[in-house]
Amino acid sequence: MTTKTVVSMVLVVLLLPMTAAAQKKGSIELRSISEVEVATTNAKGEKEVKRVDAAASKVIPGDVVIFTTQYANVDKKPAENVVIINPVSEHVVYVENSAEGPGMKIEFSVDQGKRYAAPDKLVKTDAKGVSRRAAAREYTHIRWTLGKPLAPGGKGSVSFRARVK
Amino acid sequence: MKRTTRYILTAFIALVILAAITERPARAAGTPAGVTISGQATATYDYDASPQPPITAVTSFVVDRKIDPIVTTTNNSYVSVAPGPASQALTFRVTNNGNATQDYSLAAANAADPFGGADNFDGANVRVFVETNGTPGYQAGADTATFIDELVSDAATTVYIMADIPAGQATDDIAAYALLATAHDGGAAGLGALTAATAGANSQLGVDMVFADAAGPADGARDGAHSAASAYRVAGAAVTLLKSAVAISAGNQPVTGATIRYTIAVTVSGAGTAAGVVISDPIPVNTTFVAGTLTLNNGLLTDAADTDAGDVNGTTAGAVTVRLGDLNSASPVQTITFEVNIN
Repeated sequence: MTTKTVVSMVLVVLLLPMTAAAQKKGSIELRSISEVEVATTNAKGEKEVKRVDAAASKVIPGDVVIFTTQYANVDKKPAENVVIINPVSEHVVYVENSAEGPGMKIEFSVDQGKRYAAPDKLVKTDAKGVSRRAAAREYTHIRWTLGKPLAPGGKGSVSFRARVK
Repeated sequence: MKRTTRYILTAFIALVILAAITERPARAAGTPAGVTISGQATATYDYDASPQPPITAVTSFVVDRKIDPIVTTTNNSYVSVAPGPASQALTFRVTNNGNATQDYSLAAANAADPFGGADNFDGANVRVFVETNGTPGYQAGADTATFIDELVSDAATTVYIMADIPAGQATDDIAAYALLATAHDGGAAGLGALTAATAGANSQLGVDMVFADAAGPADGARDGAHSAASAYRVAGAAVTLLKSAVAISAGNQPVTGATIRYTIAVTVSGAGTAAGVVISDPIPVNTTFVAGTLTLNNGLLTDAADTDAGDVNGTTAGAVTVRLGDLNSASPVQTITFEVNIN
């Protein structure tokens, strides 16, 4: 193994997480998108808010990023018990009430995905054993559960907003 | 070649470990520039009641560099100065509220009075120095740096604007200055190149430079700089006299023939100097000065108008006069005593 090949391997390792991915394993297709809203003025002088790929935009601490997951059943059979899980990255904080998903039951976790519950039933227990309702900023994972089978060709998307720490 | 390979691999692994160790959650100034944030999604589902392998998709972006200096003054109100002295300090704090290490160039600019008055004079020999030796307050010869080098994210440092106050400046005159801190690139010793914002709405490859600073009295919003103002106000000196009387003859009663000792305590307050202070106190009617009892700070003064500081019935007829010279708030209390007999 030459130095050159090692260097290029290292580069490949570094580049891997950068590539946004649409994966097709099995027969559900999943796509993750991260976007920011950019305010612009159009040709008519009206203010518009556009969504721009976060990787092709300026993102600094304090900015809000919209994470969207698109799903599609590309098989010929219905998919049952479809569940999507989004971990909330350690560098961002979930924005309260921002999770959306038509036809989905939305639940959150504050313990790295061990347990999920609706916001009003999520509790955090401190060292003294005192429990309180968990704050949105403490959410570590979001779980979306589709209530009915996803028909062949069926698709949809779920999204949430998070602020960069 | 094998050896080189091993070195590179070791270095890479060390880098990964270092990155893991230095990672810190929630900091005020935020996620460091250059960090990749990933959003991952995992889907699970069944076909024909049998669980399928989970599918994942990832999206990621790089956190850009936030340039956000914050300048504040630690002067709660005017810095009181006397007319004349050199090197009077206004004190400021410069905080790096961005997410990367920055250098800052510093400048003093004329400004409107932040404390509500009207700026009406300029100091001379205006300079800016960074607190260097860690001892609070400006020390000449010790606090010498004129720019801020390598201020890490979230850190703050103290900066002084120094000015000489012209002699003859009137009481309540005001000179206001803003400290302007402008971001330069960090990363090496010495003042780096002026930090330039990445142009255009769209990101370039890698880390963009994003100005996120607020406007100050001497700069605009999102210009890679920030400023705050403070001001000098000339304060005069106030002379305070405290006079007391004690009957010191037998019986300690102020009756005819009794001897009374008067004590006058002179103090000076305020930032300025009271020049050529002269105390003149008339000898009360129906009393007679007791010869040879005039003292200043426990030292006997002759009654005659001569080379010492005091006289009786000389400079001013029927009065005690003591010349105290120049006094300021640091001068010790001046104590004058003399005795009279009640006729």
